[in-house]
Amino acid sequence: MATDPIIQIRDLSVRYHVARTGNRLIAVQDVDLDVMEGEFLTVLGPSGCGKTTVLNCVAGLLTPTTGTILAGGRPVTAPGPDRAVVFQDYALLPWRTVADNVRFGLEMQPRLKEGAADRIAEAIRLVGLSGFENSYPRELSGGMQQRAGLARSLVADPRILLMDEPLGAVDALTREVMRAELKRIIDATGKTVVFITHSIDEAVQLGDRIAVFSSHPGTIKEIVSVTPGNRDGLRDQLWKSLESDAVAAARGAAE
Amino acid sequence: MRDLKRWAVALEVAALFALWELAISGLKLANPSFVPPPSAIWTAFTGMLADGSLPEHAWFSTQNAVAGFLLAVVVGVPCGLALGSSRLVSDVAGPPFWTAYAMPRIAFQPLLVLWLGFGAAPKILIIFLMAVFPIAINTMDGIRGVDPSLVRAARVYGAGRIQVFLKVQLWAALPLILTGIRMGVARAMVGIVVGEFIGGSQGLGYLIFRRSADFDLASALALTLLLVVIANVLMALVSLARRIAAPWYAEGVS
Repeated sequence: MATDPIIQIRDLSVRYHVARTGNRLIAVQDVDLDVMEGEFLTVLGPSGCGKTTVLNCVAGLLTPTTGTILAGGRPVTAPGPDRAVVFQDYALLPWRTVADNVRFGLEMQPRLKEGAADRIAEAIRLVGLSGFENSYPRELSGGMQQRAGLARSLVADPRILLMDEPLGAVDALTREVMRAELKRIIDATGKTVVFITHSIDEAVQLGDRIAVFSSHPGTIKEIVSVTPGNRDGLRDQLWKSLESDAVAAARGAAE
Repeated sequence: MRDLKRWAVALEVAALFALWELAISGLKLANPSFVPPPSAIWTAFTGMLADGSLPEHAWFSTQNAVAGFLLAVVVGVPCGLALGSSRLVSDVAGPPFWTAYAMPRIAFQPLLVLWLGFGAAPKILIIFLMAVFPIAINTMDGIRGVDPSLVRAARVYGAGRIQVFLKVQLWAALPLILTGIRMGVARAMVGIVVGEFIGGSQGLGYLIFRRSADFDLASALALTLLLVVIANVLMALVSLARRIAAPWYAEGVS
């Protein structure tokens, strides 16, 4: 049992019916993916390759057209306290302070009522936001807002963290700092992480393994392991692997 | 900077009145009986205050306005919430709602007098009809405009439909609901005047109508300006309520 993957994705396909054109759009086709407990898996691919769709299925926000997803051995049918999501646009509630936004991560779980204040303080400390408990999101920089989003995702102690381009909306300099910070925080908590990005550097720097997606239809092209020795070689290899897709996406050839 | 802007507004208003006075009293651009200058309006106003009838009429109108306006809030906000959050309600109740909105509600005033008599009831009802739509429509837009990302986040952290509504949608819509209520205040003022034009012998609208018929335009304009002042005071109160209830929003608009 202990060696079973914490996330098992089998034959996952997601198709949309596009009302305007009457066509069916295949967002994701035949994805198989295993994520081991404690692993940091980065998912790399060009825009529109369906990686966010896969993440939303694992989160329980989206029902797959076909295929199954197991999280901790149980089929995913809805969001659950074992999985938390960090969003690219932070998705903080603007009318709540940092502390109250973090509280939102556990207030729908009655079992965590006791000791909630301690959990919130600890999560805020962990992400380095101590002193900003009473700030509103718009008073914070993008990087700090994402720290708050991260604290919210950690406060209820989920087993799995799903991160959808969490550094995609922060400026380049902050992104460098935040990558190292993320690594530190995740290592400290020992969470299993699925981390979506379209940055090769980010995928290589953070991931234990990298799942490379290609588009049309969105599917996994290859899965590579990151070892301390192969980082530089990997960058070139990944770029070659992604180049044609990336160029196509940039040209809008997809449509 | 804010003080400076306030002074600028005061200066604007003062300049407008000064130009008006100059054009009529100084340059004689128009007959003062038809276009009374501010000085004549002020004299008419103090005259009405002195003869003691004004407070009674103003009180009658204000009572009706408050009753009609509160009714509009109590009905309009839940209607907007239902129309905005439920596809079913929107499909079924939407068409009659928009038809009612498109109707020239002012045209119903004589009918309402026939149905409800000369008392306060038809006045309250027309104020309600004027104020309820901006409140309901803004509430509806507020609910529909909620960032879907916030709803997704709420679902991830375990919120069901009711919790999504109470913890996310309602809060996110609050600033627009209060904007609707502020618009409702302005519309209620229109309702006061329209409601008192026919059938009755009380209220500021009735007085405006009477003084105009008597060619006492200075008094009619004085009463109109009084309504403007009342409307602005009420709207400022709603803005204040918004700043207190939704500080994250008011300060966001800089």
